[in-house]
Amino acid sequence: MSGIDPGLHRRVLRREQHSSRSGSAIVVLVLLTLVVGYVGVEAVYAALGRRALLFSPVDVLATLTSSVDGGGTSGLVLGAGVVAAVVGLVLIGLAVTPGRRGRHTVDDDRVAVVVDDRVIASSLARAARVSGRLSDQQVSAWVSRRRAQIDLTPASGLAVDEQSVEAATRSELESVAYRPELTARVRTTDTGRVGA
Amino acid sequence: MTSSNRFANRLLLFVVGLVALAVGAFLVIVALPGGGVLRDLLSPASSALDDAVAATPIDPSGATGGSWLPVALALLCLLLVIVFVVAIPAHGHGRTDSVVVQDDPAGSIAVSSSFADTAITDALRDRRDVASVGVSAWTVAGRPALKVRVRLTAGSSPAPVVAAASDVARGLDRVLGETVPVLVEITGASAVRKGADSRVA
Repeated sequence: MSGIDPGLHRRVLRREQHSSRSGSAIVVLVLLTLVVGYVGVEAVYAALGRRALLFSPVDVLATLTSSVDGGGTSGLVLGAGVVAAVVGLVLIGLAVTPGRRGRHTVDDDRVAVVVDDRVIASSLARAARVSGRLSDQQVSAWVSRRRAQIDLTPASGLAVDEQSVEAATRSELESVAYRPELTARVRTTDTGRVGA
Repeated sequence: MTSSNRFANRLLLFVVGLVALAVGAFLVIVALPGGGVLRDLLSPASSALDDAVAATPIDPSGATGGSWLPVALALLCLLLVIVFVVAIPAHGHGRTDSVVVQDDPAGSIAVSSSFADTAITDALRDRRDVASVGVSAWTVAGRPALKVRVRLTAGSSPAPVVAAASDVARGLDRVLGETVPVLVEITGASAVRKGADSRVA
């Protein structure tokens, strides 16, 4: 039986852990279609010698020149420029940032595995709850790329056994080989809650 | 696992972003009182555009009509719109409906992906830590691959499910006589929210 090509697994996992940016690309394509379509309509109007709907592509530079010729600040041009620049910065940001999807992989020699960070947080929260004998409202957990944080809220007047919670969450984390690796931190809030 | 071209997506975003940023920066500089250098460029550019329009009549005898430049612009816009409209539905493809295709001299054998779907779902569905299972087949690098989406009940540890899914995949290998790449995607209800998972201990 032939094994699985590890390169294929790596490729699949890399693609599953990062956004494809298809959504943003489709939005940009739709907007570009509208803008270019509109410019096309104006070009047809200009070619037929009709009056422009909003601006004619033939004298757009002349319009711009006359609108800023007074020497002062033109609010409309300035506003359009700022909006365009901000949109440009956002798009460049989308293009160059990794777009991680909040997932970890697990080593396995047969299947490629991605685990949602929320599942990891949920399993850690349960481990903390069971070991610390806490109710589910007293534990909250979140997981980032390399860290897992578990927050405990003690009931007023009762101490939380932080050591056993820490040991339990650590063993829960060690039972699964997450990549990138996670380190857990347990934190107890200073103020308890009455009736928690 | 779609076959969308991710590099093309990012390239598109980058190029459009760069153009928008350049246009925006130009407009801001021109609009502010300090933008003298760029402003001085405006009126020569504007008159150059006028000259170009005047120098490109549709009818060389000058009897009728204006310049052919707007016509060319309209055609260019039409072409671009066609390109964009074609590019939009190019996203999200890559599904397939057979997990194994074997071509023999006597004919070809295809195992439908619904077979793998039933086998994997039946094997995993009855586990207590599994809320639901979904299986889909995709073409990855020219070969069929399976994507198994497992939704866990709140608070369950992913480790036993991963081991079980791995065993199921091995069992499927034995049945199919071929190793199909399998991706296991483990998701869950948002149990991190306080009070969302009270019934599972």
